[in-house]
Amino acid sequence: MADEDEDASLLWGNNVSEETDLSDETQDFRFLNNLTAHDTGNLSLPKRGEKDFESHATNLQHSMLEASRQAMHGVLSWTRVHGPKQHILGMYHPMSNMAFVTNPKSQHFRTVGRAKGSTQWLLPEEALFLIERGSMDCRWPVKEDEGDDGPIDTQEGVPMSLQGAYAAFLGFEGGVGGKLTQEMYTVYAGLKRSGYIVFRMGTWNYERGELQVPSLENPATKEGNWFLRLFGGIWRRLTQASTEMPAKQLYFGPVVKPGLYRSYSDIYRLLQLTPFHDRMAAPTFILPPDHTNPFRVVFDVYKTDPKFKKSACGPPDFRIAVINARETSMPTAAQLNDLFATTPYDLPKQNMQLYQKLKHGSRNVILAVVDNGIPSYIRIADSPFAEEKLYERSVHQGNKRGKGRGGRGRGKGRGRGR
Amino acid sequence: MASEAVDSPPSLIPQPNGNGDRLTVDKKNQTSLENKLKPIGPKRRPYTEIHSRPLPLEVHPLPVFIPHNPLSFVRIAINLISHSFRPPSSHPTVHRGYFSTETQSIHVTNPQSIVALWEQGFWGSGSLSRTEPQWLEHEKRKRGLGESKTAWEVTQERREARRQFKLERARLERETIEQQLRQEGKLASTEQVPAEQEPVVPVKQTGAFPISDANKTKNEFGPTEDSQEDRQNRQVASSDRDPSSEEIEDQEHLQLTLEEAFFLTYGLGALEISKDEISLSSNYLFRLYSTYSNFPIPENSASHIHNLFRLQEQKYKDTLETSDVLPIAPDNPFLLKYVVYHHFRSLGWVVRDGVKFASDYLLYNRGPVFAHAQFAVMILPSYSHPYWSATPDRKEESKKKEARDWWWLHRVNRIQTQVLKTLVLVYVEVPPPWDEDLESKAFQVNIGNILKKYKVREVVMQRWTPNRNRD
Amino acid sequence: MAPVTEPFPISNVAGRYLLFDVDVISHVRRNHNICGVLIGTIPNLSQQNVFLGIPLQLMPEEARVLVEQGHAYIFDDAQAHMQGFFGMSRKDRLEFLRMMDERGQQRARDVRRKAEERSEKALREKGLLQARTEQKESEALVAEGDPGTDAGGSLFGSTPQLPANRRVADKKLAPHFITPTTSYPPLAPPSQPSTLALPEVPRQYPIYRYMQSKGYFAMPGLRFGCHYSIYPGDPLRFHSHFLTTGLGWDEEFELLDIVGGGRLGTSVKKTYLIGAEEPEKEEGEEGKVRAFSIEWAGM
Repeated sequence: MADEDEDASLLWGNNVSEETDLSDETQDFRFLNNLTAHDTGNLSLPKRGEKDFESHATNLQHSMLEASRQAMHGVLSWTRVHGPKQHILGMYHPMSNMAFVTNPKSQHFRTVGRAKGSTQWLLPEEALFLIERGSMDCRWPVKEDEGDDGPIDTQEGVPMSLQGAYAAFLGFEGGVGGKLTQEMYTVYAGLKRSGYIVFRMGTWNYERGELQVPSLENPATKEGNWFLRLFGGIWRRLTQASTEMPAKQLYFGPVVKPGLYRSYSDIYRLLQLTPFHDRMAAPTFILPPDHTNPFRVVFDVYKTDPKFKKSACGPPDFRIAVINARETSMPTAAQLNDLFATTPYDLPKQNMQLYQKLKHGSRNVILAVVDNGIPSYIRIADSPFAEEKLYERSVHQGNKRGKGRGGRGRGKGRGRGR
Repeated sequence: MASEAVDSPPSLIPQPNGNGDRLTVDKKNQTSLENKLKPIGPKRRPYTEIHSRPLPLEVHPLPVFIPHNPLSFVRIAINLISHSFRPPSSHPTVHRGYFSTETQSIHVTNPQSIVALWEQGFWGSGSLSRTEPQWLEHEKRKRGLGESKTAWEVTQERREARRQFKLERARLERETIEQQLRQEGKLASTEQVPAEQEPVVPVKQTGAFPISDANKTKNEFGPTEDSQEDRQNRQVASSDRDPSSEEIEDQEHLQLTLEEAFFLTYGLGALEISKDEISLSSNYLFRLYSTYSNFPIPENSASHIHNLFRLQEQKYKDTLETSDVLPIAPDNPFLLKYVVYHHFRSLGWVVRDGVKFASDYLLYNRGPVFAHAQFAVMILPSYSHPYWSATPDRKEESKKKEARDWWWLHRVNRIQTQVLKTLVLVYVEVPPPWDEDLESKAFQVNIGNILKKYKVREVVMQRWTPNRNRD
Repeated sequence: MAPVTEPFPISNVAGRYLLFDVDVISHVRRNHNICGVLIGTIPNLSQQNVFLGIPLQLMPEEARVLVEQGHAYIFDDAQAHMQGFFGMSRKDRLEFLRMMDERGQQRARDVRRKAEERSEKALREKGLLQARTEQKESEALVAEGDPGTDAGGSLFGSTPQLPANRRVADKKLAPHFITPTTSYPPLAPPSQPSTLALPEVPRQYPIYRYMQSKGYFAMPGLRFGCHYSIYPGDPLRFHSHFLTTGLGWDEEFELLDIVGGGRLGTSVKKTYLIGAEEPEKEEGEEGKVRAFSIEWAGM
């Protein structure tokens, strides 16, 4: 029996079904030993390392631990330095909680920032990330004294430390884009480090996205010429049980009374009672707008693309909502409904396998759930199983294959145009 | 490739590869697939033949219509005419079972019914087996009467081999550490690092099944006690058996969950539940199952529901106490489970209990013998209806019932991922209470209408990793 | 590694507990078996997520244990920065700028020196000696060179560097700029506040505190399906033993969840642990924490 094995799966050593995500476990900083802060060209990431299960009280184990700790301390001590050639100088703008860079020449601004004239303005997460990765030298604004004449040069501002940047850009509620939480930033930085292009969604304010109404395409099947259509209709009436059921039958049961049934599909069709979510209906919001609702798309994410243009970026590849696991519970159906309502349809391709189609769903969103600095990404998909009626696909049609086109046509017709 | 089917000797069972081959029923490969999917033993038919019927009902398709062949017209016409004179039955057998209050499940003891229910849609579990009722076969084998190994035995052998391997590996590790410690001068050359506590030794094969003593009722796998009725039914059944068959009395019965039984009764009309020789109405069963799905059963409810039986089903005339037959809560556990069960079964899925993997249900395309379940279902009741937020009490109550945390979700999802299943969260919209006026309606329920009040929405969950999706 | 005096400050930034000082980070690791989560991007290693750097994010539970035991105190970092930087006097500002300038110059000199050493090494290996005439050209190149880009050994290899001309080159040396990690200087480290703020902790706090007191390290366990992933030693060197979930003493939970936990743990060779704190028996006494392990029996 096929699934007897499943209990035995506990005994299989390494779990082959899970990808080894190196960021799941602390890795040994000694891997970085041959690098310095200046020469990091040859970084090759470690494979799953050899760790111990418990203390052996051996000197060897102790000295290895000491070496790892020293390595970590060393790497954490690297200073952020900007050479004259690649110096990006920015200044913090407290009122909007943004930073601006005048006349930037760097490639970085291909994927971040908004231009206003020749100045690039950065959202708090964009600024913080550039500072953190060592690309931007950001300055505090200068207090204007009476003796000053004219605008202060950015270079006169006090350099902002990393700690200062965190203190400044996180948590400020009154700035552009609203409050940047630690969780939002963790997700932003993580995706940037993985190579994605990340933008704040939409209009940068608290409002939720618009309702995404499906387009009116309705792929009707071509049923062939009129003769076959007529014959198909007669055939259908002959071979199918009527779906008109006397109310008494549903009241008392059984739903499937003894009678003559031509196929199991007929029986299954009779049994369909409980309504399910109709994805073809236009989506509506269930809850009133609420800016404390965390279930909204915050970031639009694009895959790495050397030809990317800020001005003409097209629809994002992924939409991310950021959730703090410690503050928010799992979504209710209403919250999910509203979240899905703001994402466009992303239907599976016709030629996909059944399981692929069901897993793909008709709409999807990625939830970035953060637990104290560690993000876990979950893709949720709105997937009406009733879209893919298993009984129409399987071989359970008895021994009948149906007449040529009629059999298959009938199945397809039902699946779509409702 | 049917990597999961246990049909080869232990040493040849293929290990799962990194992608987790899925078994897809592809028509082109069907015949070769059938050959691979034969149950253990030389004389068995292929699974596709045994399990050719997805439901315990019969269908009678018309012969194939070939447009250019006039003979097919004739065949169809004959078929239609004969069917109108003597319509063949869709329900050739109605199986019988009874409700056990001790186990809150439905027992089926007739051997033919047990086989039919298992084969035609994978209903129920053997009370003394893992899933498929196999106790008798195993008993026969133990006594040298049967031939082949059961899947259970194969699994046990593999487990033993695995355990030995682990012990050996632990021993080698210990020795390496000892060597290191000796080198560092921390251990005398004769000392040894103490071995870790050995895991609990699994129950030996021969001892795992109960002694076939008709008087012994308790067994190691479950607390199921054979009631008087069970034994009676079995004796009746065994006296019908072919005298040339073996003399072993099958101690095992088929156990159906409340949802399975209700679907078979109310949905398909293929199962009749009786009590004191009276066939119970679906209406009564609905209330009975709902009552027993609560734990613990509210005081007096058990006796009052029995009184209801006497009134409704036995047509007893006197007045009896039924005040503690409580209205069925709209989020009654049986009801929620049943709505989802009925939904997936009516789409064609084989739905089985998922406790093995800490989920509510497992969905199989064709059945557990063919492939692993692809989906694991978790049911989440949802209280979006305005009724549930109309008062602060209700609001708080429903909020508590809806609350689930992310650690729970990751736990469930990780378990499913480990066994190559995808988690499906099924949100069930709970309607406002509909059974408050049960007494004025003489305890009758319009089952169909009630099922239509609920709404089901599936949300598929999968872990997403940035590394894999970058380009 | 400089020694750390206790109690040391923990930054509260937008409700999260962060550490920016590398010495403090090493200190809590060694002395209090608290490892936290490194969440910052390491400069020049900004295209991977395996190795992350400062700041270190402490769980509220970790911060609370440190504060409760008197090792640390919390202070509002945003407020400290606003006060310190927005109100900074012109004099202080210029003083700090001058200091940073000097560091920048020093840095530029270091870079050039390293480049010189590299080229000398290359020369020695090649066994060649070049004429002085090209030295000016090379010095101009050096002034523009910056870290992270190895301008190619061959370029330097063809021109000699002579220490005698260094003072001339000093004036042409373009300064580097530094972004410090912490704000001390120019600010003074925050002083201990008069009232001790205790971080708010979730209901699973007792099991964390219990495990920490026994010497275990803990990291957030969301990905593994538990509250904490518990290690018998430093996670740099050890695998975790326990997947731990904390509950309230009287909290109801589903039996199915126990099944799940057992299955979860056993399949990755870890033990699933649940624990809770018994309500106090007498006034003032801390409740005892009980922990239970669950393993799949595999019968």
